[in-house]
Amino acid sequence: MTTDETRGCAVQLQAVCKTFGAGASRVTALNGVHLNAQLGEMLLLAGPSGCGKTTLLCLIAGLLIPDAGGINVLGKSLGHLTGERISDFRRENIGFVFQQFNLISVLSATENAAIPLLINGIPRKLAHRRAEEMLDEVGLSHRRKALPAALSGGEQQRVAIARALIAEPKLVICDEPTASLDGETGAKIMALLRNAAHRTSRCVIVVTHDSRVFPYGDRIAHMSDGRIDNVKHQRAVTHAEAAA
Amino acid sequence: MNSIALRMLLGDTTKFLALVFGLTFSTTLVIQQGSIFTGILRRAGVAIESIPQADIWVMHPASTHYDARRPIEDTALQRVQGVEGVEWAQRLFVGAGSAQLPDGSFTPVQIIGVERDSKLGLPEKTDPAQAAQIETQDAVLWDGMSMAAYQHIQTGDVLQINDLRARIGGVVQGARSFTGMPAVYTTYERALEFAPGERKRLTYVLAHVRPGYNHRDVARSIEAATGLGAKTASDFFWSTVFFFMRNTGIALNFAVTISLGLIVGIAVAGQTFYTFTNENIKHFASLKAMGIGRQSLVRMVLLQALVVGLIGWGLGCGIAAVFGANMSPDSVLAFLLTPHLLLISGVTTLATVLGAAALSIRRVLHVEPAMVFK
Repeated sequence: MTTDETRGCAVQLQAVCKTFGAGASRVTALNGVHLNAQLGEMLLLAGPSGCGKTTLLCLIAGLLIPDAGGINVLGKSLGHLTGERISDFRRENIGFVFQQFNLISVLSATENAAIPLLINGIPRKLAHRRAEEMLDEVGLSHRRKALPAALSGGEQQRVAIARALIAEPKLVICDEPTASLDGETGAKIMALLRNAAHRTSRCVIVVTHDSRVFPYGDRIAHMSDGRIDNVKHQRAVTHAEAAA
Repeated sequence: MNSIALRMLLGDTTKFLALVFGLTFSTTLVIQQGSIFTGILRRAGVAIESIPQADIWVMHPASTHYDARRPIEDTALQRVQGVEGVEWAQRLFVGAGSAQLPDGSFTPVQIIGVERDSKLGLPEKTDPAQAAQIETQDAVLWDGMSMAAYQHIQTGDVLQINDLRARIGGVVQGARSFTGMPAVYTTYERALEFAPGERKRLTYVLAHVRPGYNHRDVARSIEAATGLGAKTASDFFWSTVFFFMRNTGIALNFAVTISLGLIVGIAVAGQTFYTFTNENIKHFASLKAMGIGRQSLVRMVLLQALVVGLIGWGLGCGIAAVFGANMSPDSVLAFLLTPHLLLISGVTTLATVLGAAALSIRRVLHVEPAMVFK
């Protein structure tokens, strides 16, 4: 059995379309997108600004509703989920890493990382203990009590990754996670995310236009004008190879 | 999530303090102005309250409040005493006069004449030695709670009341009246001498109800038996207070002041709270993206609003209480803090914060979580 065959299908999009606005201001963001992503892989979505990457990400996360086509995430058809049920699904299955980190400035690293567990109703002490373990895994054990303002960009993104992974979601969605970071820091972040995909059989989808991170993906889907132009398989390099 | 909501609130110190200030201000104003209002109104009926032994006040049937006095026949006393349920009855004279003070100035005075034996109608705190003075020749007791302009009157001073000699036998501490005009206390008979003559002279009959009888029932019996007006002390007090509320601008003036204070509080709290929510909207959007439910979001915002409301209300109550600590119903500035005022201010504060929260909740529920990807 090939590695691909042992992985399950995490995300499946079929002929997905999405437009915004109406009449003269109508904009087609996605025009018949077909795509799938597997558990245990890191899929990069690359393309110029305005090609529909973020829209695609929002659709996969259930934050937007497609105008046409079908979206299956972790075996669930998102079209059949509405309102609170979509929120429940996101809470239980999807982790997010945002471009601007979106850490709450008055909370410490531990408290920020614990948020998904608190949303899930886990008691505070238990959530904080688990958050400290996650921070250890991302190399921030010495910065547990620090506020975001006292953290570097890379450290903040690592807190965000800890937050994204703490509830053990099967799908992690990352929007330009290295956009605010320098090359070396970005490489460390990508290594963490790739590790999360491979080691724990998660599907990690990363939207990026930063070619420096391309080597970290298992596959790269190139987009333009609301379509997937091509999907390339590539051998995922180690952090050391990418740094060389 | 509650702790996160509170940390977000407290983390923005400027807005938190502005919120607390707005709510503290409106609460303080409601309680302080309300207390002054109730204190002033109480003084309208203080003469009734100051004779607690009188369960029922019997008066001319046309009298509607304490200051609307018309004399009744002297025989009213015996007629009231004969009504079932009346344990005892006493006469009380209340009239008006003009007093020339030792310094030559003139002032209107209220002349209160009490029964020689019981002295019912003298201020409660009058000691027996002072009370006995009214039985001596020409003696009156001077009201020490009148306006500051008359505080120089001392025991031994000699006045002219309606051209008759009056010697100050003592200065007593009654209850501060609505107008602050001085009163002189003397015997019933001497009061009649001081006051201008009319065919009927008696002002009030004060009746005490036997144990086991309902006061209002006895009052109705007195009215039926005598044809006079009879009110329980409580009913007479409130009819006097309501008369002043309806026929003076006091209630309206205070209502305007309190309303303005509430509007300022609502505006500051509402605008600040909404701004606070707006400035944190990206955090709320992130939480929505992470899958927080609508109920949890509503709880977060409500908790923030209620906490700041509780702090503001508590501080407002405290400030009003400190202001009133050196005040009393008998201080120069009338101040009467009642539980009702605390309740009213609590309700207005709650309404303010809930209104502010409603706007913020609407904002938070309608924010698109997709905005965090922009």
